[in-house]
Amino acid sequence: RNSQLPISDHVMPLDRYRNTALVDGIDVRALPLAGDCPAPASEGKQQQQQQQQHWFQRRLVQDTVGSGYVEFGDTKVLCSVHGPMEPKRSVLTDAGAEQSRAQLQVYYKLAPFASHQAGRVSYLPDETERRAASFLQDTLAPSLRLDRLPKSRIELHCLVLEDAGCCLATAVNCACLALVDAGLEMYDLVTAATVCRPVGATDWQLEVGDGSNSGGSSSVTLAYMRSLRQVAGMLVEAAEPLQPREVSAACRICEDPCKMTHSSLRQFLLDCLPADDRTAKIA
Amino acid sequence: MQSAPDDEELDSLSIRLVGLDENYPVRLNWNDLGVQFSKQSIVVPGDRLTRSREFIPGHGTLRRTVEAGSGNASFAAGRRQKQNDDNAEDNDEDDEDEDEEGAWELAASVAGRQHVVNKLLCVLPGRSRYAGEIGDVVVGRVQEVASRRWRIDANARLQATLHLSGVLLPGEDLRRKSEEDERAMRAVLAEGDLVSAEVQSVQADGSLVLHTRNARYGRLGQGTLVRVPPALIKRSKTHFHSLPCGVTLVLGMNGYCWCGPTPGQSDVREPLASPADRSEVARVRACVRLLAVNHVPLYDTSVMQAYEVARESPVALLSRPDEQLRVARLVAEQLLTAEVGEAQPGGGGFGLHSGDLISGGALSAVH
Repeated sequence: RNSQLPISDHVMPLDRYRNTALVDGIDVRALPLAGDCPAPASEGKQQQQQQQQHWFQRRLVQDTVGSGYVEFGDTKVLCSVHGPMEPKRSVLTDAGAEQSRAQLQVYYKLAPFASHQAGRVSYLPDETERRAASFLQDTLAPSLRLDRLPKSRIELHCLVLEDAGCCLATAVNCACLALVDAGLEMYDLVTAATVCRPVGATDWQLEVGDGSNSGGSSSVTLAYMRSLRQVAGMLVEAAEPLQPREVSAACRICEDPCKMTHSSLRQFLLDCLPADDRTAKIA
Repeated sequence: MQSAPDDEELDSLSIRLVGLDENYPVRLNWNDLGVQFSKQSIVVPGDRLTRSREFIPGHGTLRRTVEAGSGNASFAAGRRQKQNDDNAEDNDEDDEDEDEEGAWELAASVAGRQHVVNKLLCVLPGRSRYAGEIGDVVVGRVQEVASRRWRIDANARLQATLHLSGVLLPGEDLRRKSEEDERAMRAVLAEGDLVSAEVQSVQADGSLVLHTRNARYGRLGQGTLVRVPPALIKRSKTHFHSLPCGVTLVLGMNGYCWCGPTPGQSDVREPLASPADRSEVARVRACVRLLAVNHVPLYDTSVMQAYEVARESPVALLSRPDEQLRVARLVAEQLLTAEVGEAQPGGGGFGLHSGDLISGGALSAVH
């Protein structure tokens, strides 16, 4: 719930121009929903089925090269891609390395209202967000043909609008959709899934976006490239000591959801690309 | 902490989700006009295109080796070939002898439609950065004045370069550039100026070298810039159009279009445009913008038709999505009937000749 102290005490002095928090504000989710909005309570198998499906959208953000939006259950992530553009000229970077391939920079942020558990999130990226950004960078950079774009920079901005679980995997899926929408050359579509396990349990369970997975459990996020049958990235967050075989078992469980997400993302693209292409002959 | 709001307050606070009405499409739907886009040959990154060796990989494709029996694809041998230029035919024939140990296949690296032109297989994405081709007319904005060159933003991956030797200075046009010229560069083009130029060459890293060694290129005066997707600009013989309403329209192949009042004959510094001229320029700009937003190809005919349709409406009305849709739809219908009426050798639609795009603009415009 909301912290007792006003959040402005935690924030650096540079943030004075922002209205950081209302001390006695009400969490929006505490208000009963009005009108015809569907209730977020996930009960029943059908609801669970819906929670496990992805909903894709692209080209939402104006003035960007590419953008994507993915909803997985209640988790909502929006990504936008800028570039390729001039690289940042810095005295510190090595000139040779900078020029041979493009640089991918990932900015990852949770919206202040996004988190179900942690209350209001600060405007400045904290450690979780920095770690997520570096995971996205390590995962997506190998999947892009960066050597085809020397002396360039690609910026990827991820904004998590609601985090109801599995938000890092959804961010990977959304980032992949945005990069494809931008027309950047990739080796394959990257899709990700997360499995988690509460402390003391033995089975890994697929994490879905319904807010049921609270903190304090170990999770393994696997990013997978289906056509190449290669793993693009893996992130293990352990709440207890994990054996290597447990982690590899978790990865094997992740593989199927990744493939299913790959199929649905591919189908979504195949459905919406024909209207995009102006060079088509009239069929 | 406030107490929880009671029901009456909630009714006034209720949040209704407002979505786009199904009956109110905001952008032109070409399917309504009878244009069908075939779903064949659409590919997604990672899809296998072909295993046949007769195809040369073009843009948007990559070679990967397939290890026999296991079905895994890897890039160990494929990386060598990717160093070479994709479109060079000579190199490919040499490389085929090298990787005899495994089969290789062509895969797509972008999401788009496959095109086969003779033996070249390429995948063209719907939207991509402008890459530039020699001879293209582009409009750019000067960003930096460096020593003996200007750096120009031409909507490409990297900044374009305009050398001092590539500019037509007043006076004799072939004289050697002196030191005074170098110091007086800002008098010719300063930071923030718009300039129309032609692409002289494309460097190895993809940056463009421009030149304005022709009387029709040069600094653009009063007017407004519209940025549209580069793929919508149809390649034509001339990109400088003097519309009958007194507006000059420059459609840069890089997606930057400039509209301004047609300058007078003399070289004297032109006077400020009158309000009537400005509103005509604004109308043409609005026409270009609404065509771009509704994915209608941009060339002089389509802009003129949009201007004719929108001539009577107030300019401010043309920024509303429903009005944009109405005008774009009328223009699209006229373009389609015009194409059906004429005999088209290639069978392309709505003013765009597909062969034209493949050989010319699209292959270069997609990098």
